Amino acid sequence: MTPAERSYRRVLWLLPADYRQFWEEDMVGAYLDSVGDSRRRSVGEWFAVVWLALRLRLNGSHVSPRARIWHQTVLGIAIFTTLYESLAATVWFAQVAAFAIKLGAHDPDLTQGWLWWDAGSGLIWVPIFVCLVLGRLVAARVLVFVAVAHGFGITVRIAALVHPSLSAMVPNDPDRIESYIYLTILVLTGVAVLLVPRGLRPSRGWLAAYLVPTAVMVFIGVASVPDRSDIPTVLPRWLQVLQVVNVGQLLHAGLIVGMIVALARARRWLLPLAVFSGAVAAGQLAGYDYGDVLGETLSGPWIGVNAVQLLLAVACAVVGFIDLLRGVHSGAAAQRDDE
Amino acid sequence: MTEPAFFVLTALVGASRHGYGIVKEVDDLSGGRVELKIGSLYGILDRLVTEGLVELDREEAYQGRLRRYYRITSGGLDAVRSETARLAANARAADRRLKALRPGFES
Repeated sequence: MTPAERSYRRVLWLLPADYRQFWEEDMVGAYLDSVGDSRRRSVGEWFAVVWLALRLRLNGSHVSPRARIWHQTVLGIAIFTTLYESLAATVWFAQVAAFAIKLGAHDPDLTQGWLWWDAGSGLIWVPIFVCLVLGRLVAARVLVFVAVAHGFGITVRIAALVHPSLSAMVPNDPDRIESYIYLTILVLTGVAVLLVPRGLRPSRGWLAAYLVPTAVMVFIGVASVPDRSDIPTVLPRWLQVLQVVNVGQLLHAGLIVGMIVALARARRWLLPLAVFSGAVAAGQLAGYDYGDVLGETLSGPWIGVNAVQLLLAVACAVVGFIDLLRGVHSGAAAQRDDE
Repeated sequence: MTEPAFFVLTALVGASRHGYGIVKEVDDLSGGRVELKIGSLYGILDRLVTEGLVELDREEAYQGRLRRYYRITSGGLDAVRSETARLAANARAADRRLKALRPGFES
């Protein structure tokens, strides 16, 4: 083996294994032909292989089982987080609109432009989620960049309003831990959307995961807005059962069930679900005012639910990470998940 | 279709070729403008084979190694024809505009 062949084969190791298995000998032969021609030996040949390896690995067409699980994990985190942001933004916007329409005449604060801007601009998450599901990755990436920057701006502004000095954002302020967790989720979402490989496209059924809960939550949220400003916000009598069953916390209970189901039957979703669920539970736990809520009969159990959710998420993340390292459940198990 | 992929397909019209043979033919066809690196060529070949536009023709022993020859498929020929028509239409449109250009607009 000549030095030229040896060094070229070394560079070819960057290519995915199955790609190399099929093309390596042919590439080496063509390369040696070109070297024999003497005019084509250049560093450019090495760069071309590096670039090819990068493209093959990023677009997901030639990946190892371990890389496939990693891609699935990234896609899952992107889907879960953008779905969560889309749901929250839509419900918030609907509630702001309902308050402004029903009570705007009594309370001018409800029709201020900044409120509409904050609520309306959050809706940018909806096209990001839809683009992800439809495989429009370039659009999703551009929009997520704007959305993350905007989310940072809003979070910092709210923190500055609550604590009118920039010191509110220093890390050791316990009141701002919730903001930091939210910012972490934002960054996690942005990075996940940027890293989703082109080869993967989720089922369009994910659109229903946005449309159905949104319709229900918007309906409940709008129904709870009173017709007059001098009466408190309550649900209509026929929906008052929902005041006992905290709708927001149902999401957390659903995530616990989801992690258990993923652990037993759909392991490829386990790691992204655990990461997302753990982040949301941590945010929720950080948001409680423990001095006030521990005395309330309804909030105490939900703190327990969130604590269980966080512990389960950590355990599931460990199991999912071990799966990732071993490169398991990409074949038979993934097929079983699809069925 | 990218320009290198178009030239790779065109290089295979009428003759099967091995990897470096394609590189040299593309070099000739483009008048030296498109210099394919080996890594780039096999990225393109992999995609064209996956899309069914190119297929393996035969393997031959050469200096102790097996050399693969590739040929264009009927789908590949159709792709070259439609891309050629598209490029020709573009060229005609540009040509019409250039001929209609008044002398005063040229700098």
